[in-house]
This record gives sequence, C-alpha cells and structure tokens, in this order.
Amino acid sequence: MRCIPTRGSSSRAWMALATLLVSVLFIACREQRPIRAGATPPPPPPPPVESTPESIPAFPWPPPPASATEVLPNSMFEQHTHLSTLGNLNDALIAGLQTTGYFEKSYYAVPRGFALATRLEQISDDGTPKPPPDRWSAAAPHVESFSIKEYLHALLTDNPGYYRVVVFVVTDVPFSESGSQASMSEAQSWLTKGSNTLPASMASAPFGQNTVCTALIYEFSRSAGKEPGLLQPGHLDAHTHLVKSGLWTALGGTL
Amino acid sequence: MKLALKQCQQKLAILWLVGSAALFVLVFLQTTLGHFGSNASAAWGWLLPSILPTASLVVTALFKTSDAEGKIVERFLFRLAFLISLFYLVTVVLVLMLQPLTSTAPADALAHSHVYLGPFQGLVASCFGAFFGQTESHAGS
Repeated sequence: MRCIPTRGSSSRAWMALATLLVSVLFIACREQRPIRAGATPPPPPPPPVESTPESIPAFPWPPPPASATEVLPNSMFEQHTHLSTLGNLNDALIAGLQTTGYFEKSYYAVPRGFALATRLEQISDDGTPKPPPDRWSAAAPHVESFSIKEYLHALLTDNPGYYRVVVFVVTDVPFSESGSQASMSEAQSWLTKGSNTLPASMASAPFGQNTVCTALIYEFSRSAGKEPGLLQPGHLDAHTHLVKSGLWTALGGTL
Repeated sequence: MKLALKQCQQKLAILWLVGSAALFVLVFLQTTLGHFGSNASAAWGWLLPSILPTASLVVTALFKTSDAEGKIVERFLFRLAFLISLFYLVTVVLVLMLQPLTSTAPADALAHSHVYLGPFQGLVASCFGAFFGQTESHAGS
C-alpha cells in the first residue's frame, strides 16, 4: 500500500524542521559569543564583601551637618612628618591630639580614607576646654572658680553649657555635609562605636595628591529648660575652635 | 517665761514677710533674666506653695487675733517657731543660691528639693500650731 503524504502532515514536518533549525542556531550563537573575535569579555562579578578583621565601622556618609568646618592645609602636618601614607597623617593627628589632652579617640571608615572622632568635651564660651573633670562631663555647667561676678551671672541668668566633638575626616573624596542633624547623645556615642586603632590596610594606603584633612566641629549647647542641641552654625567658627582647643598649634599651624 | 503675743506675732510676721519678699525678688530676677529658660512657670510653681501658706497664716494671725495685746505666750514656743521659720526660709533661699554651684539643672534642683522641703514645711506648721494654741490671757497668768 502506497503512503501518500497529505497536506497537513507536510506542514507539520516543515514546522518541526524550522523549530529544529532555530534551536540549533540559538545554541550555536550562545556558544560562539564568548569566543567571538574582537568581543570584550564580560567583567568578572564583584567579589563578595567579606568582613575582615581589619574592617572598621563606617562614619555616616555624607557626614551629618557640622557646626563649623575647616579644611586643614597639608603643609601643617608636613612640618613634622613626610606625608606618604594615611598612617603618617594619623600619626601627626595623634601627636597633636595627645599634646592637647585628647587621649580618647575613635576611628571610622569613610570613602577612600578614615575619620577620627574625639570625645565630647565641655568648653567655655570662648571655645577653651574646661579644666578636667568638667571638660569630659556632659552635665550642666556650674561655677568652677568662685567669683562674685561669675556667681551672680550663673545665679540670675541663663548659663548655657557648650560642648564640642571634633571629627577629622581624611580622604581625597570631596564631600558635603547632609542628612539629619546629629544629636548630642549620638555624637557622644561616636567615641565608643568606632575602632580603637587605624587598621594597617588603611594606614598603609598612599597619601594621594588630593587627600586632605577636614575638621568637622560639632558644637552643642545646653540651655535651661531645653534639651541639648546642635548649634548650626556654631557660636564660634571652626578656626577659633581649633585655636582655642590648642589643636591648631599642636598640629603645626601658626597663629 | 512669758512674752507678749502681739510682739511675738509681729516678729514672726516681719521674718516671714522679709524672707518671702527676698525670695520673690530673687525668683523674679531669675525668671526675668532667663535663668530658668522656658521653665519659669515651674519656678513660680515651686516658690509659691513653699512660702505662701505659712506667710499667709502669720500675717492673717497678726491682724485677726482678737485681744492679742492682752495675751501672752511661752518664750520657748515663740523661739522654737521663730528659729524653725528662720531655718526653713534659709533652706529655701539656699536651694536657689546653691544651684549654680552644682551640675544640676535649675528646674531639677527645685524639683529635688520637694523631698525635704515638704516635711520641713509640715514641721513649721506644727510649731505654729503649738505657738498659737498655747496662748493665754494675762489674767490667766
């Protein structure tokens, strides 16, 4: 018996053949794409971020708005040391801080650099640190050296307390301050939440041509009947803060 | 030993009026010059209940006691009432004047003083009760 192909079976055969051809072409294209001449290979996937022992907490970035800001000239530090790595600048900062009584500090990571936060200190109206132990007290101010004038002033008028946290940001990335204002308790916590030392990997990072140290001054005021709040702008400028704290000269600046 | 009631009342009234006036002036200056910031009402809310009840009692007794000239009172009771009043008023003044020497916020210092000023004020009132209750007439003596 002779089998005569019908019109329907013929079209099914052509459809199957076309499907087979398209599949073969698709597979061939996929296999040939990586070895096609002149084509750039796809970039390797980024390595997963692993928590290394050297990783330190990150500082809020961009930094919260400060009361005052000053970019310190690198020439200040170069009087004492050659700035070839970020560690050199850190050493200069530590030396200056210790000279002026800032023995407690905390390190944070910032893009392409680090931030160094000092402990919250109580300051006088002119920016001079109060003598210890009041210097490191966040309590309301009181009369330290008794004089009739100072006592009457404290007895009758509002006697606001001023408090300061200095954060040195060392990076070659330009930044602006934004975001919500830091509270006094948040600024106090910067001392404890950061790292106690600068990791070796950060310290050995080269000091780039555009790397600068920026001093962010966070100044708080505690008035009667009010919660302590950030002064923005501060009642003193950043340079006055640095000069009155002694940091300016301790870091190599000239008056 | 007995003393004339009228003279005793006058001395107590002078003590309380002078003490109250001094405290009033001090708190007035403090609230006007911003010592308490936005807590000025708390300062007055602390001062007035601390002095007004006893001061009112003393002044009212001075003018309302009938036949005060003819009455006498124990010297001990008068001295007790006078000294404890003086001690109380000095304590109230010290609450205000010592606050700048401490690290306590002004409003907090006032709030903390309620702990000891309340019972102290009760003691002052008891002394006044004894003082006015023990009066007797000259004829009786």
